[in-house]
Amino acid sequence: MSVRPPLALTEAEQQRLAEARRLAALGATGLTGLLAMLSDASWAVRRAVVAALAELGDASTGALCVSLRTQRDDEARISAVVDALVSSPAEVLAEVSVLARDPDPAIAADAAQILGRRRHARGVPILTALVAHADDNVAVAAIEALGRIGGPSAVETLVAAAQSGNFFRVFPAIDVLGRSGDPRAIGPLAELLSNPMYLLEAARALGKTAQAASVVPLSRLLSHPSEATLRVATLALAELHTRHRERYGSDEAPAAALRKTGTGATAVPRLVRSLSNAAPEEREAIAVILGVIGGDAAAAALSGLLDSPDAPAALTAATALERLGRHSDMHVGEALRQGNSLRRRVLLPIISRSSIAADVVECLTDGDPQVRALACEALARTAAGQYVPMLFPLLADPSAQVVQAAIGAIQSLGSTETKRLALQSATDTNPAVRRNGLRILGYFGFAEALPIFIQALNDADPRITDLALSGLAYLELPEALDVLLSAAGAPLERTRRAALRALGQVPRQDPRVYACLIAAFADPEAWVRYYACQAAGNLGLTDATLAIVQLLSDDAGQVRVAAVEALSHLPNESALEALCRVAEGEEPDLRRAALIGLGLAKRPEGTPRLLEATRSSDAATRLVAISALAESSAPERVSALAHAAQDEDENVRAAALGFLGTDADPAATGILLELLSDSNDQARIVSLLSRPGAGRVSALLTKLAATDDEGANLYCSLLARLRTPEASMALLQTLSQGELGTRKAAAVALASLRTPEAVAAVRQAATHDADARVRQICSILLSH
Amino acid sequence: MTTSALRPVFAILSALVEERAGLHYGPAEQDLFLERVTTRSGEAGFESLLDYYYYLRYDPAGPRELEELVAYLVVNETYFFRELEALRLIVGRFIAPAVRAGRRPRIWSAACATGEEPLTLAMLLAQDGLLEQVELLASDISLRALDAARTGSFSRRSLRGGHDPELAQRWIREEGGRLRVAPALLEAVAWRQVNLCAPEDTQTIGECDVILCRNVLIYFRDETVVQVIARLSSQLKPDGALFVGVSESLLRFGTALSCEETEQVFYYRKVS
Repeated sequence: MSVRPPLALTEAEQQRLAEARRLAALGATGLTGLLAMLSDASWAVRRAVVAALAELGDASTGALCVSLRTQRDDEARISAVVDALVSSPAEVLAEVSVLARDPDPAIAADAAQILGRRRHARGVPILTALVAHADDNVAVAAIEALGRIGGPSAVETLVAAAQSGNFFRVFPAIDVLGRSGDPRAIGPLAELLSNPMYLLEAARALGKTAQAASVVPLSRLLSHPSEATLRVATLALAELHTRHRERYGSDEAPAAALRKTGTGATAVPRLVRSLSNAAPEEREAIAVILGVIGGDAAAAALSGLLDSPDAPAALTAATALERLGRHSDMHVGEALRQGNSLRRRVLLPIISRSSIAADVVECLTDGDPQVRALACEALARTAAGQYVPMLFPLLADPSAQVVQAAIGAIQSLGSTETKRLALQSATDTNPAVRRNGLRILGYFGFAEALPIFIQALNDADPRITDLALSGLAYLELPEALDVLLSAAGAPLERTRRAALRALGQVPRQDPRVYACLIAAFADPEAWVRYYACQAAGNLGLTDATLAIVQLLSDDAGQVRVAAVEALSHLPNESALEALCRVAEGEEPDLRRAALIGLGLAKRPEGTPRLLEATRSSDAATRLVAISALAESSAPERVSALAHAAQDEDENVRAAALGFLGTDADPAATGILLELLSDSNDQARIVSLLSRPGAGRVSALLTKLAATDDEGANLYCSLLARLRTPEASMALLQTLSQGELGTRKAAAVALASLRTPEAVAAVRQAATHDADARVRQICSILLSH
Repeated sequence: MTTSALRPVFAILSALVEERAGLHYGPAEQDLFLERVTTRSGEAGFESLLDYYYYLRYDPAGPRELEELVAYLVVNETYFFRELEALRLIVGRFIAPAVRAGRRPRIWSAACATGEEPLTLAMLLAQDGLLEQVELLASDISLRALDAARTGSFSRRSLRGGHDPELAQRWIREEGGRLRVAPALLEAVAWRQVNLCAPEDTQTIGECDVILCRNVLIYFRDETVVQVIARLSSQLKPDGALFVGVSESLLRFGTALSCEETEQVFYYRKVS
């Protein structure tokens, strides 16, 4: 039995920690004391000192740089000084640049590390110079720093490092070149594939470029005698596809390049053989590449992967099979018919072709309820209405999830058999089947269902009575309305409740309905009053406004809320006045309901209250307020959404971003672009910006006019993802008229589109662009 | 209904659940949460989630239904002999010495779900002849789970994690396709409903030598975890130990407990 000491500070450490905090509280006066503590033996104390020094900002920069230059006998101290300069909010570039030119290589290397960890874009020229430093350690530090900062600016220097033949510089340069995404990196990386020392690293780097032009050199490795090389190449190709899709919205360009190489015939058998010993991520990558290459052997192997114990590989295999389209039907069908529940669970969610519907039907009787439910959903997607009768037996399924899915599929598919089978189900001896049959009849509103609904009102199961009343509302028959009105006065509260709920759905306005609802406002049961309010609102009974306003003082909370919700649907001044009053109240549910109502009303009187609510301390209220504002035409809404897009609550942020993504105001795109650099929701924002919207293209062009190389890559890739004629024109325009950095980025983005116009433009630029670098890039892009 | 239209409903329902039971659901879990709530609301007779929310909020039966909803949402992933090494350590390192010293130690299984954890502890205590000298308390927020635990009848899935054959054979028998635990073990456990997020519940527990709160904290926000741990710590005797799940860690919260390890089992001691 072993016992380790507890993870706690010693008393001496705690005292020194307290001293560090005391010095930190003194501000600049504590600087000398803090510097002296940088050599403390305790890691915890040093961390606190580093944080305090960093917080001093400008006040500590000079002293820290002096320390870095003059006190170099303690590695822990040096490391702490570097950390403090990295974390400092001060502008340290000038001082650190001086350190970078120090004749002591160790100091220059530290300076390079600081610039890299601070991701200082303006440090790139300094770092570029350091890559050529005589000392290997300095050069490596500079290369790694460039890798942290990213961007294509230093590509030429890095290419030189990769071609230097110096192992200590080549290796770090390979990785950085890969991540740069610059097409000019592809040639030098491909050359390194012939050197066994760099082969694997260069292959990985080619995968990171996300460029279709990297596919050709990588595809050659699929026939390399070494299985390890085969696996690395496969991983790299899969990564390339993923990155290309993330950047440009589609991986069709690298996929087409891979198919064009014709390596499928030799690669597929080798990939299939290597599955047996592959690690999980390798199996996933193999599935991706088999799905791209296609063919019968690939499809068969992918079917086998559906049973993979690791879920990502199985899911990837399913997606890859779906990608093969009709060519994989035979395999997909067989996999469904003969597969176990695990395999079916993976495959069913991605099926949508009617050619496989018959095989999906086989899954309706699987022993796993999740498979049965997925099969119902898949059948609905295939639109194969001829199989609707196979769904009706599932109305008796013991799993509620399966029943819901079956009903959903029946409702979605429709068929000539649906009415007959639904009528039959609604009179089944099994009460569960009767309930579900009634649901379906209610959904379709079959007039023939009237006698069944009426009979069901006497059923012993109250849920069946509820469903019958609900279904009557959709029959559009005078007799149905008569029954509902009668039920609204039934002795049983549950019946009255269900009838009033149903009356809110009747398609026509009968004066008796109004009288019935007004009477129900005085019902002794709260839920009856609730549904009466709801019905009045749904039917837009403006004559009931004053009666509903009275219910704002009801004893029952749910009735008060229902009254507010009803007023939301009544477009008159009394309703609006009441909503404004409630929106300023204290009850959260009422306030939220009123805010929704003000949003629906779209009246300027509501805007100040909505704006006020966006600053509520309650996240749900803020969410409702911005949702309501988003629907309005209030000019303040875009700035309110912008503010909400940085809300502390993730629901509010997600909602605000979503609304900005679809807002008709071009300023919304500008806001999303501003948020892109700082937000934790970058992937989501990129996804929103990839959908066409008002002012998208002009906003991106505005950004392109004043950006650096990295920004140019981002904005051009966003234009490419839009896939609209306007966006394509913008890219063509940028390629022909933009600054150097934007022309390079536009060329890469156009190459991803693969349209005849895009290819022609890139071809034109390959020979006529004024800059040799652009011509070189375009030639590389056209080379595959 | 679209995702965006459901967002406000998700926000108010999930806030209500979190307020009552500490369970936190982020936007990524919206679909899963609403799917489960929809199933439960359907069983309660509500087609509309908003109607169901108002029922939970305003109807006199709402609090009870909210308990049912919470019980339905909590994933009762427990089984016999789960993380057995930790349970053996509890018996050997903390309980047996206390009994030998003449005390009557208390163990609290603070999120017992359907009871497999405290019943496994009872088996280990019985094996060492200690069951009669120990107070074994088991609690959960779900009345439904506790009712199931009290029956002593379990599905065969409760033995899915691999098991100690000797213990299983001695204390569990198969009956009609289900597993039945020896009545003596059931009687040795005091079952209670306790909401870990309700101070009025936890402060009535009394001091314990060992508290188990395994695989529950993962469902809480960090702020809630800190509060729950503070409450549990207050019910620990000096030198008492808190055991959490193997994938859970309290180190980033800076609690008053000290992390220790014995035989590759981690736990947290209330340093005296």
